[in-house]
Amino acid sequence: MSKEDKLYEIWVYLQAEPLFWITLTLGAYLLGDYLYKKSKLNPLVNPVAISILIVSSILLIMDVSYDRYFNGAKFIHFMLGPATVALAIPIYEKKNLILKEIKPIVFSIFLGIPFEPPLACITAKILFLPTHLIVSLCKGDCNLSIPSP
Amino acid sequence: MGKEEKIKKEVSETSHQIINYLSLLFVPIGVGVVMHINYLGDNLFKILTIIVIGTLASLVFTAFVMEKIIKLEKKNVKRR
Repeated sequence: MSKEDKLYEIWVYLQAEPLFWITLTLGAYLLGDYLYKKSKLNPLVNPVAISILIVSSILLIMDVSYDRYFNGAKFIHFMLGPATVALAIPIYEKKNLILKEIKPIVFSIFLGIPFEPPLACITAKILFLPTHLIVSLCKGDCNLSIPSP
Repeated sequence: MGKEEKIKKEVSETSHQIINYLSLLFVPIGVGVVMHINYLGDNLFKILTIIVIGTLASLVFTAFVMEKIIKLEKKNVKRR
């Protein structure tokens, strides 16, 4: 067996493991985070954007389907649920401050949240988007505002 | 330190650590968006425009409402 064949076998072995995709995601994120800190926290050098670009270009170059990638990445994706719940902890810790200003907070939340989906729908209508995209934008906007702080 | 306080401290530390790396957890979804970008096609830039406008407008609107209410409350306190 030549040296190249051996290398190929290692590659196949690694690819079969979901662990490879986790490592790839974590590595890309670490690189993005390193660059972000190197650039003195410049918001344009966003670690998430960098790691998404790295991972997706590797997937496209290697011609790997998203389902196969997600087989490994689902372990990272799974943590999104607990993380959303964990967002409640800082709120609990600052409950005294929040209770002091509870009136403006509740009012602005209840007036601000219903403001966004209709606006997205109207903008979508003006831009002549197809109907199914308009519908999913109305729903998706409410949905994403929950996990994104 | 009591048992309850110890648990509180541990939960707090864990959740703060998870929130620290919250952005990492969005990478798989983001990759999914990039991989399925063909479905969006010509509508990609329109959708991006809507996201930017919608986010900014709702942020500004919510902040505006909050400021107004705080000002109103201050006025009420002065009247009393």
